Amino acid sequence: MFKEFETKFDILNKTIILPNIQEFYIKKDNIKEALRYLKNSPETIFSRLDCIIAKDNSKNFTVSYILNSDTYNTKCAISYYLGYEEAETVSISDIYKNATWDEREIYDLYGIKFNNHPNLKRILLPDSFKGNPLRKDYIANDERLKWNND
Amino acid sequence: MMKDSNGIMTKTSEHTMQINVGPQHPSTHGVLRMLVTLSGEQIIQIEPIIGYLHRGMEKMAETRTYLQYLPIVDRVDYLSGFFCSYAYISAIENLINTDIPIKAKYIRTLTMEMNRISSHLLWLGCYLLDLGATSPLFYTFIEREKILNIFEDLTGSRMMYNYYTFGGVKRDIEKELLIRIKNFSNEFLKAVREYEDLITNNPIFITRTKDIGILSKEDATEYSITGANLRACSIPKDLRKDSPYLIYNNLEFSVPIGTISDSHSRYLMRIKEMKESNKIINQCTDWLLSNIEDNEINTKINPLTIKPNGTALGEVESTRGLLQCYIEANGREFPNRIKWRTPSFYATQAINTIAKGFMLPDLMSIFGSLDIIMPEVDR
Repeated sequence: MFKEFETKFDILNKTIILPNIQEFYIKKDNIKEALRYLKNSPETIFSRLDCIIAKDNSKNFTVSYILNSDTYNTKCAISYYLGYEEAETVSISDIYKNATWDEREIYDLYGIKFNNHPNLKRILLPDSFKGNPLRKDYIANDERLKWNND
Repeated sequence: MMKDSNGIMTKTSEHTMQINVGPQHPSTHGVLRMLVTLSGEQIIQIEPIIGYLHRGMEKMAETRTYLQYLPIVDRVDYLSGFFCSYAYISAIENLINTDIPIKAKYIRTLTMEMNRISSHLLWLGCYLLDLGATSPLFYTFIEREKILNIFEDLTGSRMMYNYYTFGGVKRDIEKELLIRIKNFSNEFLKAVREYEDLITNNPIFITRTKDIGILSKEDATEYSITGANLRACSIPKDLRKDSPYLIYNNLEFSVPIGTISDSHSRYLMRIKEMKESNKIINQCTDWLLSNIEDNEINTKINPLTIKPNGTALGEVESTRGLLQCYIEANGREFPNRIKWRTPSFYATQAINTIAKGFMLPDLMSIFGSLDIIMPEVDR
């Protein structure tokens, strides 16, 4: 199923998300192309994006896209690493519409910017909130991060 | 021109008006604010504003052990706590490579399907209440009360169960309770028939729901909508059939499918789903009654010493659709990352697409029919 995909794009690493989801690590710049390919290629038809997962690995971020194919009844994950200082990537909301809110959530909780996003602003936390709580360097109860003390 | 939260541009004239629906509104089932742009009474655009019930479930996981996080999991969706527990626990069971005894599988299936019915019953009553019919709420709560009483006797709690544990369930189910469940399940079909007599062909209900809030197949896929909302537009996707977990392989049940996903057909889907769940409950109690002397409900593992390594995705077909719990563990007692993928989050996102062009009074009919629950959206 993924043979052509693997030849077309540089696969940096392959892992398994238990119980049986294949995860492919690709280069950050290829992400849009890869997702567009997986969505439209007749061999895969991943018509559905289940969710986007961001992770903080202390040195860098991982962004994973869990894709779901109605036709073949399979799932796969496409991931890439993102530099800690850089924290900027490209929005895929023109490929999968439901990515819009997922990306807003990641922007809110991790501070990762998505370029070309239609409406990038905080979603779960109030606009006046300071900091990005799911980052590992976020300190709760820090005086400097107090946001509701006018 | 104005832009909504999904970046879709809409034409606006000078005669538009913006009003707030919520955050406190009896029909929003929790705290949701919708910024609605109207032209007369017609909805031009809706911008859902969420986050009022954000409790930082994912952040909390970082500072708690796997066992300490277990009771919190039920609160992700307080109306169907068993499903959230199962998603979390199945991910961990995959990570530590445990298989659970067959009796525990049956008990888990039984409790989850009863939970599905109780959640659908609350939805049904509240939905009709949103539309202005007060009496169905009292009827549905009669049956819901029976389920909650059974849950109370089984788990000690009416809503926050904390009943599943790593490797099985915490307490065995007794014979008397099984007979009570059996009685409930025998009488339940009669109750559903009563609801249907009362509601399905009611002319007021039909006017308020038929052809209101149509969700197209393409939009449902694009917005990753799952559960009964998706099945109403004739896409037969159900995790219980697609990749059966627990013992769904051995059970006989069907997945109801509609033709056009409007408010009325979404209502019908849930009514049919309750009947199917009832079938499953019947089969599970039969099996449990015939295997009453089997008392192995738990694989013995010490939950305090769990230190898994790797990533796992726990999935379950919950009341509202596909619920996923992603866990990344790195060999310590705390998880590195837990992510909840909740179906209501995506349904809320699509509300603008679904409700655009309809009248303001239809908004609650549409919103209610999607079965959105706010704690699940905000986590």
